Amino acid sequence: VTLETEQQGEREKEDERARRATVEVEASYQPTTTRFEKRYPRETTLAPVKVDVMAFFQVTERQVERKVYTYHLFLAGQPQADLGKTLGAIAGEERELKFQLVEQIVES
Amino acid sequence: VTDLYPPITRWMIPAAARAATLSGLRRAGQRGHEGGALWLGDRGVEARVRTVASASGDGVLERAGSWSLSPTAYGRIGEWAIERGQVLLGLIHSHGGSGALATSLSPTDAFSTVRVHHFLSVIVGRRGDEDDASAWGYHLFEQGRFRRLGAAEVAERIVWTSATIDHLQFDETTVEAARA
Repeated sequence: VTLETEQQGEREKEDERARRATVEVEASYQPTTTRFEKRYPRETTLAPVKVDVMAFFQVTERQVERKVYTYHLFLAGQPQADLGKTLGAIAGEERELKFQLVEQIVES
Repeated sequence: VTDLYPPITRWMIPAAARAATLSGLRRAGQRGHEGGALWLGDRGVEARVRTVASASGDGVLERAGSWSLSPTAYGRIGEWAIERGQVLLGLIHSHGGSGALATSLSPTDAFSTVRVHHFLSVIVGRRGDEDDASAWGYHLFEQGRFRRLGAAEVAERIVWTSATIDHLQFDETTVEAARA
C-alpha cells in the first residue's frame, strides 16, 4: 500500500509539473457552438495556435487581387496582433486561455 | 463539415425579426447608406432565429455603396451570443435599388463575409425599405460558394413564424436592447 501511495504521489507531481509547463487553449468561432481545445507548451507562440484553430474551424485566409481576407484571434475582446508572443507570456499565472476567432465583414 | 456546421433544411424566422431587421436598415437607408444586421439563434436541421442584432456605432461603417463590421464589433456580438449558446445563422444587409440584380451578392459580398456551410446571406433592396420578404435575395453558402435560392426554394425553406425575438443593437463596446 505504501509503495502504491508513493507511486500515485509521484504521478500526481508529474501531472502537476506537466500542467505548469503547458497552457490549455480553448477557442470559439461564432457560426458553431463546437469549441477548439488543445494543450500547448507555454513557449508556443500564437502563430501555430492560430493555424490550428483555423484548421479546426475549416476556414482559410484568402486573397483575390489586392483584397485580403484575414482572421484574428481575440482574447477578452482584444485582438492579439503579435503572433510571435508566447502563450506563457500571455497567460502569466493562468493555466488556460480562451480565444475567439473573428473576421472582418465587408459588404458592398 | 457536418459536425461543426450541420446542414440546415429550413430557417424558422419570427415575423418580428423582419421588422427588427428593417428598422436598422432603414435608419441607415434614410442617410443614403447601406446597413446591416445579424441573425443569431439555434443551429439544427431547422435553424431558429432568436435574436436580431442591428449594427450601429463604433466599428460599423455605413456608406452609400458598402457596409462593414470591424473584427472588434463582430467579436463583441459574437461573445454575447456564445455566452448564450446562440450562433450566427445569417447576415442581412441592404442595397439600393430593387429587383433580382439589386438583391444579388456583389463579388465583395461573397468574398468578405462568413463562409461556412449553410451560412445565409440576405440582401434587402431599396436601402432596407422593402417590407416584402419574398423580394429579398437569399444566398446560401454550400460547396465552396454562395448560391441564390430560387422563389420556390425560398418559399419552402424560409419559414416565417409567430415566435418572439430579442432585438439588440451593438458596436465595438456595447451590446444592448435596441431602442424603439
